[in-house]
Amino acid sequence: MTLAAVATTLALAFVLFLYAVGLRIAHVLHKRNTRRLRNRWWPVLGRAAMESGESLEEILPRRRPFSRVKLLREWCRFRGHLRGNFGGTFDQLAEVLGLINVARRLLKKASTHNKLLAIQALGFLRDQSSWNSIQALITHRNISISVTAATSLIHIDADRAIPLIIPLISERTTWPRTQIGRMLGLAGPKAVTVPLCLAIENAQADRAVRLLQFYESASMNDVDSLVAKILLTRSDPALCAAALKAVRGHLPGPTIARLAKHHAWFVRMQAANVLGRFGRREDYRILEPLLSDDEWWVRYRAAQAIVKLPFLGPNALRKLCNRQSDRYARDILRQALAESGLS
Amino acid sequence: MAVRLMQLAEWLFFGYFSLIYFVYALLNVFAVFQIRRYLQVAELTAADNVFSSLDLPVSVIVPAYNEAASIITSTRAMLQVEYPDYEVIVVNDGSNDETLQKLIDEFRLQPFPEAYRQRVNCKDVRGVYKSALIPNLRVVDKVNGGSKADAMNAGINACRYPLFCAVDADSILQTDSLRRAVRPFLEEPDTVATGGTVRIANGCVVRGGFLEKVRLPGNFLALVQVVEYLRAFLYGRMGWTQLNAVLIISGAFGVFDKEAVVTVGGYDSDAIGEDMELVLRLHRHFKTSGEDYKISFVPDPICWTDAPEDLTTLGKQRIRWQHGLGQCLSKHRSLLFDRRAGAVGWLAVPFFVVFELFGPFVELAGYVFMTGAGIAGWISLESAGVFFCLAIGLGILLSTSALVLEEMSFHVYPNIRDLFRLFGVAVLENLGYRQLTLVWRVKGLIAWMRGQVPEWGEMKRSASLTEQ
Repeated sequence: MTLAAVATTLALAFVLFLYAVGLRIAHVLHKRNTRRLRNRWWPVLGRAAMESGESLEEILPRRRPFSRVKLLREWCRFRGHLRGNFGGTFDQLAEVLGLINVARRLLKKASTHNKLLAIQALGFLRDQSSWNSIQALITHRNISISVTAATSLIHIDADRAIPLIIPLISERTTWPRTQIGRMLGLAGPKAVTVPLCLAIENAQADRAVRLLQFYESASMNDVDSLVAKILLTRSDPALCAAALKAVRGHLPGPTIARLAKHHAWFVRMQAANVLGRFGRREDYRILEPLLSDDEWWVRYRAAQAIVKLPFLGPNALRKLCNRQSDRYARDILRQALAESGLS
Repeated sequence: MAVRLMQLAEWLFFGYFSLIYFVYALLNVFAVFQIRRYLQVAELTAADNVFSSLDLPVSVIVPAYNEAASIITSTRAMLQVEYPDYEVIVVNDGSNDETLQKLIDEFRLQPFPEAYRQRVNCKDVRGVYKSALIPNLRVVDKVNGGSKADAMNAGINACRYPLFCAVDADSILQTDSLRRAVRPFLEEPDTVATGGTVRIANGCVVRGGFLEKVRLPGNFLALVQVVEYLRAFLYGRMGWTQLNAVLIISGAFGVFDKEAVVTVGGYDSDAIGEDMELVLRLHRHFKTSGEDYKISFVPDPICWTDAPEDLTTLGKQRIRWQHGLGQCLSKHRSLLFDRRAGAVGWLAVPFFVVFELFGPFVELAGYVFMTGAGIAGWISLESAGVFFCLAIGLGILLSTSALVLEEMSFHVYPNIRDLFRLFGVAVLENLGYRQLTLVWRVKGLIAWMRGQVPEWGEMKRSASLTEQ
């Protein structure tokens, strides 16, 4: 029995080890095959992506790929790296090689990996006929699937997709911010601005805060007027801070002066930030008291803002620093001066 | 009666060993699924890994006490991390070697009038320095607080960004590791902490802070620790992630939400295992307050750390770890079976108490009892033999399964010969080394029970991270 036990455990361990070796061999072979596939097809994809005037017949190699799923993966990977305009032959190539049918077939598969590949490919190919199937996936509980589906809808038709996606952005807090930002950037301000601003305006404070994070995707003028409206009509501190963060133009003096005295320190901090960006002479009197604020961050941002003011030179700043009777104000200003190399 | 007792003890040990390996195997299975899912998504989103203005800035805190030999290499490594907005804060914890002077010379540090604010407790800060060469490098020089926790707290007080990354001064980060470790914070806004995989740097070629070549260490002890770390990180932690019950984020590499850490009071300067203590405190805080939170483990961000290459240092380290484990679990015993504590209180903490804290004692007692009882004839030699085969064979199986996980996922060691070497080590470590670590861990357990002060000892650095 002892011998049998020894033999069994060691044999099992050895089988596991052989499995590990098998995995390594498979990995090496996979890497080699991918390299070969890439060496053969990436130049083809590159030529198709360039506006070279070559026809598909000229570009396509005689030998077709052994696995169209693998080629689809490479096509997607290559497409993922393309930015700006590229040749229409690139998409045609996918159609001629039957990749669009492969993607449609994979979309019906249960495996997450295949589904993701298919959603991504069909989006890149702007396949209108898959719109409904992909739209059904934007509410999928798997985050990767839902986000990829939303991105693909934008690829297919941004104007139609954005009104569907924006409510989901405020609802699905698990959607990664960076991917939402990228998604909205892809759609462009023309498609995003109106639905986003409307959604922010009508949303409850917490949802509006989440949506305001993506202000950069909307056009500047619309965001500024929305922000001004929020700061006048809404009182939620988190929303006020988020709105101040989104300010890119100017705000009326009384509004910013009121916010610089807000009871929530993070609103005062954002107000100091905004004043630093404005650099107006009249704002200086709002900024200086903030140097003695109870909260370190408010003092720090106020000091940074003062140091950035264009009408205060190094000597004036040093004098201002020495003039401070409050130790905290002096310390923070000294730090900000040192950071700017003016100490 | 005596025979009955012997039989009972025999079955008790058999039962315990079977249970411990069964639980580990279960964690292994969890980890397989988790890693597969992670990799599938990572592959398809690889092209999306471009930085945007929505990425969260990070403060990297490097506590250093008498790290003159490796501080320049590790600081350089931290400065070469690929991340859009981050700062590096080295905290010189009152070193009595040349740590501070080396930093001053290498990075042209100048005194900086920092308006330092103390949000979490730590010993006095003597001064803050800023590099004239590298704008995102600051050095905090403080009075020695007698613990890494105290130095970390000084770093937290000095850091400006919403996330901080704790890294050991004897470690180097892979260039893309910060980006990967921060990802859970972007994907799941409730995330308060993430840990990354730590691997052994001994044997690797590091130049100018860059990891140039990944190699297995030549030293046997360091080599054994490679397999141990694979086991601990790949399925030890990956398995618990799925249940949001990760209890340890290695002090060598972890990213934290600064406000969450400040809310719970920062690191505990009295804790020996300050990394685990902080994670347990975070769990307790959020479980008690009922707020949603997530503590996760990301398998691929890699931090390379220096492992002890001699028995004395290794022994002291393991005694200290076990002592720290005991201290942490006893301090947070209220989590155990707390109705609000979920998987943390009902699975992870009991697991750690039964298998990690008292496990070494039971295992060692099992070995001693079976040997003694077999020789004395109280149990049959065959039973004793089966017990040893079960313990050693299953140990080999578990170590080999960690190799399988590694092959399923990251293939960090590029040469196939490395795989054969690691398998050899997976077998050999169970024939003596594992039992030796049990002795150290039992010593640690006794030290904790007696309330002794742990011994730190001088860590001898391997050639990989030492400046040539």
